[in-house]
Order: sequence, then structure tokens, then C-alpha cells
Amino acid sequence: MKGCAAIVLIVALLAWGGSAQTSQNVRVTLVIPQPLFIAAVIPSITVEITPVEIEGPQPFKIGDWHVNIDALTPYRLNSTLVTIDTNIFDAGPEDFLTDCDFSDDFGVCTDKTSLSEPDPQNRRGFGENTAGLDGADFMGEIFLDISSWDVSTLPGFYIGVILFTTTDTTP
Amino acid sequence: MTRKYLVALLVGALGLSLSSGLVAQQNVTIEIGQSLYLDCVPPDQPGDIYYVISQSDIEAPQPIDIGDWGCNVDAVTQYRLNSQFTSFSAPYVVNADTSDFTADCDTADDYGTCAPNSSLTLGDTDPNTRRGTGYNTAGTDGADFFGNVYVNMGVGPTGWDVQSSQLPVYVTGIITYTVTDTTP
Repeated sequence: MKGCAAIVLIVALLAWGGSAQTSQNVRVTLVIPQPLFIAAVIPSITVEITPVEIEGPQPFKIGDWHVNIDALTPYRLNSTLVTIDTNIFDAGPEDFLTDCDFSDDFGVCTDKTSLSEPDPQNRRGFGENTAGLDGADFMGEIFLDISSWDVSTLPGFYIGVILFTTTDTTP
Repeated sequence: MTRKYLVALLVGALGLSLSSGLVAQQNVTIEIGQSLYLDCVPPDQPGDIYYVISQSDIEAPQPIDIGDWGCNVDAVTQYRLNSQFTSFSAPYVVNADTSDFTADCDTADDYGTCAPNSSLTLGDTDPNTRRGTGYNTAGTDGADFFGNVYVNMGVGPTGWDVQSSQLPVYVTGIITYTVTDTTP
């Protein structure tokens, strides 16, 4: 070492001493504005009454219904018929009945048939969370009983709307 | 060249006069106050996640992608990067908890390596919560790690149960990213 310049390096590891750690937070926010979605797959039913229906057993089938439900909550499905216009005496929602024949993806049909009374008489079914599925499909038929109808003006007509509703049944 | 020689001579002469010997000493001290730097919310990275659940998200295969994450690590040591929920709130969504959320790591550079683990669960531990590992990044712009955050809302009776009386419902939480020195 004589005659030479010596350089001493001192490297200081301070504060963490070999166990350095640091962290940072990121906020996560999920917004769920609507947990239930319902779509009517069969948009309308048009039926012309013929002598076959008049002579046949009452009620008789006039069509099918099919709805699809996406849910992030348990729910029930109801359907109610509302009269829009008619010229037939004594024709009303109570003349129409329905059933539920099929359901999938955690949906369950009920045996109720009314289209004119409140829940549970007009309940078509119920279900659970459908996340990851194509939605619960409910299907059934619609029936009409014209035994009380009094058609005096031709052509007689009845126009109504079936409202399908889903309701959150979370306790 | 002439100027360099002059400086050398001056230092040598000073050394001789101070120590009255033939040895000169120059002390150099380098202080490293922090060996790891983590930045998960810079302007060019995803930062906070804000996501609105739509009907198509309910129908989509679970889990669904709700956002990206990205962290930049400057290191003078080898390290690992972890992330997990450290707080969570879902007062109006029955069955929702942090185990419904997962993360992956898609890319890493500058000596960073992604890990295959996906857990973000509050209280879970390494290696389940490990997003990646890396080494000294001196001379580079830091190791960039990028990935996605997912949520699985379940299905059926054990799936999420959103209370419609409280709409819109919010699910919030904080994901904490941590770098840890892994020097043995």
C-alpha cells in the first residue's frame, strides 16, 4: 500500500436493513344499478276465434309465453293481464288463465294460474342469482274461457296486455 | 491531459502533508435510504377501478374483467410483489366477499416475472397473493407489472344477493400492493 492512494467505500443500508417494504392502495368500486332484468321472448299473441274453439272444451289454449330473467338477487315472477280495449260484454282478465311448464337456471315454476289476481295467485315462478348463465327462461301457455262472453257487435275483439314483473324477494 | 496531471499532484501533496506518510485516503459514503419503490397509480397506469355492472355482465361467463392493474417497481434488491384486499364493504350484497375477486398478471418487464397466483382475498398470504417477482432495476425505467382484476358474482342460492331496496348498490374495497425484499 505504500505510495498508493487507498479509497474506502462505505455503503450504508439505512432504515430497512435488508427488509425494505413499501405498499400502495388502489380503490375498487363496483356499482350495481339494477339487479333484475326481464325480457319477453314472445312479444304478442293474435288469435281468431273459430267454431272449433267455441265447440271445444273451455278454457282452450291461445298461445305461449316465454320470458328470460337475469338476476343478481332472489326474485319472483308474476304476470297480470290488463284490458286495453274490447267490445265484448263480460270479457275481462278473469277469463284468461296461464300455467308455467318450463324453467331453467335456478328458476322454479309455480302451479298458480290467475292472470287477474294479486300475488301469490298470479305468481308464475321464482328464482335465484343467474350470474354466468344466459338467464332463467320461464315458459308456459295461455288459455281463454269464453263461456261467459256476450258478443253483440261484429267483429268482436279483445285487446289486452300481459305484464310480466320481477320482484326482489330478498328478506 | 495537462490539467488532469496537475490535479493529481495537488491531491498527492495534500495527502502527504496531512498524514506525513505515503498513503492517502478518500472516504466515500453512499446512503441507500430505500431499496424498493412502488408506484401503482402513476398517470400512465390504471390506478383506481370503478366499474358498473350491466346486464351483459350478469350473463357473461364468470368471473368478469372489471379493470386493469399496473405497478412500477424501482429496486436495488430482489423482491416480490403482492396484492390483496385490505378493506372491503358490501353492506347490501349478501354473499359478497373478497374471495369473489381475483387478479392475474399478464406482463412484466425489466427483470420482473409474473406469478400465476390469483388470490386477492383479505387475510390470505403469500404465495397465494403473489403477483410477481423481480430483481435490481438500476438503469431501467423500473419493472412494469400489468394484469386484470376479476369478480365472480356466483350463481344460484349461494350467489350474490343484491338488495333492490338500496339501489344503486355499491361494493367497495381497497387493494393494497406490497413489494417485499426477498434477499435471503
